[in-house]
Amino acid sequence: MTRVKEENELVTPGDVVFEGEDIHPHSGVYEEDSKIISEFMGTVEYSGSSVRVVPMSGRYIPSEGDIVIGEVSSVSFSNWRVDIDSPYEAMMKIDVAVDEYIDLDEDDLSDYFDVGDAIVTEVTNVTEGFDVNTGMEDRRCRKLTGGRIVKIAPSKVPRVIGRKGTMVRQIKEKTDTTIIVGQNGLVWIKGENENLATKAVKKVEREAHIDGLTDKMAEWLENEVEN
Amino acid sequence: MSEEEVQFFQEDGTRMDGREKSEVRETTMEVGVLDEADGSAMVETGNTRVVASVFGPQELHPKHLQESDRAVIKMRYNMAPFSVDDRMRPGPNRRAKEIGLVAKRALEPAIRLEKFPTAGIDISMEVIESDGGTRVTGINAAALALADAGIPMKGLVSACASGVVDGEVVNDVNGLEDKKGNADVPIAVINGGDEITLLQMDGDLTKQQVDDCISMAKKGCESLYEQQRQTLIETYESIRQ
Repeated sequence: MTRVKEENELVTPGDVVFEGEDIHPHSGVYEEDSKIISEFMGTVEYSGSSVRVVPMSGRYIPSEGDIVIGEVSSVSFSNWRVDIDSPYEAMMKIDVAVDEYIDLDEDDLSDYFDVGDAIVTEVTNVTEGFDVNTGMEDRRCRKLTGGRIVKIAPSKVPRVIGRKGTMVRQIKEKTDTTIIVGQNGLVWIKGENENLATKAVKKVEREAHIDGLTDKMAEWLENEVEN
Repeated sequence: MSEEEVQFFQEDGTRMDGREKSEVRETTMEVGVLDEADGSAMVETGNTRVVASVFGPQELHPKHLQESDRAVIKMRYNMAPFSVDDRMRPGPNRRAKEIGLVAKRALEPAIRLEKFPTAGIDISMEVIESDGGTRVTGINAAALALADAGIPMKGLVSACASGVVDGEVVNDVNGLEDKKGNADVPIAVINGGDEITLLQMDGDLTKQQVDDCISMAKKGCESLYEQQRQTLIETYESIRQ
């Protein structure tokens, strides 16, 4: 019934995080002989009656409802394939991708999305065997033009977004850019001061574990903008 | 051919390189040595040096290798031509394929393969310098690289090879002891514990010596496991600073 590892402590795979049965394992941990053991190189997070380990690195694994940034990798007769920077490629069908009527004999699907286009898309369905479907029905979904895409670790995405979006909002305001953070760790940045915004996002990724990072970042951005 | 007498022990009972019988060679470990790989590590045990890299989980090609309920590991063990005293013919040979296979079998039980159906994980172990115990050093490096790549695992795998020279059981055999000694027994365990995932035996030895070899190699694994943990924690602690 004791915490072996404290909140925010680093653990390696196989490290015992908690001894006892009065807490249940969330993600990144497994139970063995009434011990909770880490599966990842990561940090420990307790919340209420559960414990989890947040990995420091790793690929994005799609889950339903995620808004991700992807690149159209191929166009076929009636659907698109989207590379979402994950072990599994996603498929996007016409009915959830385009609003208007498409006559498959007449129209060319690459007029809507072509190979190489960057899109913001929603993961609509993931099967047990990891067949992934995405769609463009959510209002946040769209095609991206211009700007740049930066890659961060998918496990650091919540920190970059911040509580209720505070972190990303302040970066947007201070650098006068538009930023979209995909759950898969791809971040689209476009606007006045893209370089600074990129630097800021990378800084948040690196310092994700620090308490009160939002205030610290506010200060840092203030300084950078002045220079 | 004339039988040459090889001396394994000095007069005071220590080994030719000054180690006690149960002592493991000085080992250094480094995580994240390659930028392009998802995870990488280098382990140096005495004069043996191995770089391991991990890519994935990623889409697996050719498709017929895919498994619908788990990920598949592709393992590559390769010795650099300059890794041994005489130039080695580059490219895969029988020995490299076999070691790749046993190293894969040693790591597989620790990895949560069922979390990534149809995907593939590419692991490669490149032997830069060889002085005995390349497969165990490779496994140690691969385990670190897997953790660095953020792949879910039951625990870290650590490996150590003990052996018999001059009728004496010794730990962590070096190149000379491996070649000229009576036998060597490489083993790998999960989390420095009791779950053995690799056990090989090559040479002449008695039943008692097998038992002694296993328990001695296990001790080596324990200390290597502790060092793997420390290396990972220190590396990531410095990234967080």
